[in-house]
Amino acid sequence: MDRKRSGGTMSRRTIAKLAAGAATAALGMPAVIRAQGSAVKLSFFYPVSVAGPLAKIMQGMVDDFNKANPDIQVNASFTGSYQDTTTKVQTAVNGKNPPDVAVLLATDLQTMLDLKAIVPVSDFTPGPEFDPKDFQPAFFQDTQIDGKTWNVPFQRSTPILYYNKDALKAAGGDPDKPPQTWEELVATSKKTMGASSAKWGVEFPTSQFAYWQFQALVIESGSDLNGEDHAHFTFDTPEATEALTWLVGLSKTEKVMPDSVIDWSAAPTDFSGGTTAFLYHSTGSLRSILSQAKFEVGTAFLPKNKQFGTPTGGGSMYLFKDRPQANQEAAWTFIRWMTAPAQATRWSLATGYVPVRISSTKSKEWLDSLKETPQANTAIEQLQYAKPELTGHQSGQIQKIMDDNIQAAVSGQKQPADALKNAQQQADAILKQFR
Amino acid sequence: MVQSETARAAVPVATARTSRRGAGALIPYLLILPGFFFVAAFTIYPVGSVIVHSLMRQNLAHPVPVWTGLTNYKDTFSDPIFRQVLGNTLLYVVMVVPPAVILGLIFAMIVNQKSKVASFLRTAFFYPIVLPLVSVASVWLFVMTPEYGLLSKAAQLLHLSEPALLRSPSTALPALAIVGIWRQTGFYAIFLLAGLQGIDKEVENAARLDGAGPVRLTLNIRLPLLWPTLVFVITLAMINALQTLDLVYVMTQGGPSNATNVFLFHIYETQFSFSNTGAASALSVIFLVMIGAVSAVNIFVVDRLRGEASGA
Repeated sequence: MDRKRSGGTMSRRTIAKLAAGAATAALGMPAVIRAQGSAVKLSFFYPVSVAGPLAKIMQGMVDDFNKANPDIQVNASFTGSYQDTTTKVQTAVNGKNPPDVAVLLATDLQTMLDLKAIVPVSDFTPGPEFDPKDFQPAFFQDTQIDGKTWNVPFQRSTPILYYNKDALKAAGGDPDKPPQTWEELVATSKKTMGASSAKWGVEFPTSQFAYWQFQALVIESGSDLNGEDHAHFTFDTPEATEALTWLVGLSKTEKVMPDSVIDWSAAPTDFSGGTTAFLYHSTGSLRSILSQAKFEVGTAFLPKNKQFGTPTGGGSMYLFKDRPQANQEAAWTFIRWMTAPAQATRWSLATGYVPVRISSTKSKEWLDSLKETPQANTAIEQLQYAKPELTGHQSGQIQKIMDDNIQAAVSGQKQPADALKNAQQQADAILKQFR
Repeated sequence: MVQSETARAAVPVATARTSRRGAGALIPYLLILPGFFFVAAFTIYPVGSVIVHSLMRQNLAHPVPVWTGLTNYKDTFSDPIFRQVLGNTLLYVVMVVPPAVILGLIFAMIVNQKSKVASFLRTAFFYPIVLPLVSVASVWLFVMTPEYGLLSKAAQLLHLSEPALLRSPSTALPALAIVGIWRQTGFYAIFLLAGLQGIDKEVENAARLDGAGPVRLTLNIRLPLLWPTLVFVITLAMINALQTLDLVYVMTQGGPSNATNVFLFHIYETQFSFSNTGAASALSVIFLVMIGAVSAVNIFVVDRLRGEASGA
């Protein structure tokens, strides 16, 4: 009965991030002590799920907010992966002790509503910096239920295709013309495997977020995983079967991808170390990949099947119930500051996440940076093909069901069609309670 | 302090009880009350509460608990993931317990020989159990990482195909079992060593005088006399293996495709990630029954063996 609880999913990288965060927190101490007194103290949970020293960058931004707002004192806690963070928030909510602010997946919205854990941000005075029309529409639509705005887009992303320009050149291709279709991706992968030092053509990680990048393949095939409402999903479709068959074929028949389940957090290292020529990953990993890779990195739209397509992704900031009103007001000030154009630009430049504010993408700072790293523009342009990420009631469990079955298919345990049929049955068994 | 004083005071009262029935008869009950309070608060109440919750429907779709009888159990047993989890858990027990106990026995016998390296070996065998499991799991995770891990590097040097143990559903659970065996063996060796050293030297010497060699001595004298300790160690090993959680949490999170999703991890995710209190409670009760069955075997079998051993 003893439920042993360990610290979190500790990859070496997250330990490093944690250490970096702790170090920054320690260095920020004098400022913290000075700012205390009658200040409203806020607790803030945030996850890190892409490559790079994000905990350090986050702590820097929070420190700057605390300096600029002496009457508010935000204590930022790095809480592991998205799943860990959602679990911690749910536990805290059930214990009637929620954080004031948390970054959770945008897709956790329905779950948080089912938990009766959150308050709509549209109940608070917007203030000059909060302009709904200035948020990327693809991201802002994910915040709406029943005519209310329930969270604020913060670290939003899409998956993109990273490619090794040197490997493409070695394979006789034009480094500025990456593959545009599934067929071209397979053909080019085969060429790079023979001609360059890349051991593999492509990596499509499935250890985490398998449902997310897979959803892109389904949208590209002309369908979607989201159903008519938050209690219906369309997993068992001919388009999804086509997408999963293609994904499985990358390693089983085309032999351009390592066999079985590829690790989400190790894949960016595989790419920047030159092990694979192409990588499907979040745009949030862009800055880390650019700084690690010793070759020229290109980014491109995810290759199309029938059409281009991608789900939106990433995290938004949520405000919680059962907190004193002074805390909620202060928390709202904090959220507005963190998602204001200046901070949106700063966070995107440091990480690779898509700037959530349209005015950020027009700022001089951003446009100047594009001259150096035009790769950052890919995700913004790809937003025109974006559909909302797989979401609904029990979204964490539904996403895991999809992940489990995709993993069963890529490791050869189930045929693609059977995997999707199983996913549909398991999801329906859970969702029928919400219909 | 307080407890030992009350215990001493209790002795005359308890003996007086036989002659003088009445108010004094209540005193023993009063005296066990503090102890009973802790057992009630931390064992009886939680177990009762989890049984009650297992009979109620409570999840995100139905936040208010409603009595549903055995529905949660019916749903659990018809859930393919539960069957997979149960299979994984039992398979893990089968993969870990026999090697860990047999290796532990061999280690104990090696250390039991009087040799110069005995204390070094004892430390080496016992070392894995004193390390924090989360760090151990992180190190093993690194060893088993494809491309960069120690195992992959070794395979690259020898030009073998690289193992990606944790990537594939067919190898992930055996990989965890190896870590489990490595972790537990030394712990069991210590118990078995104590058992071996508790064997009466006169019995051994008598057997030697009768001409028993080392093999006969082990098979016909030591093992039978060690049997009660062995049964205890096997039970302990089974309960430990059933309760595996940390390794899974750190190394695989139950994946890939639920291949390493074991009982406690499944309870954890059902309650804390999926907020399904009813299902998690039913799972907990089933788990409690499993652990209880193993413990019962320990209590009855070991006691009988002890009885036989002392009677003989």
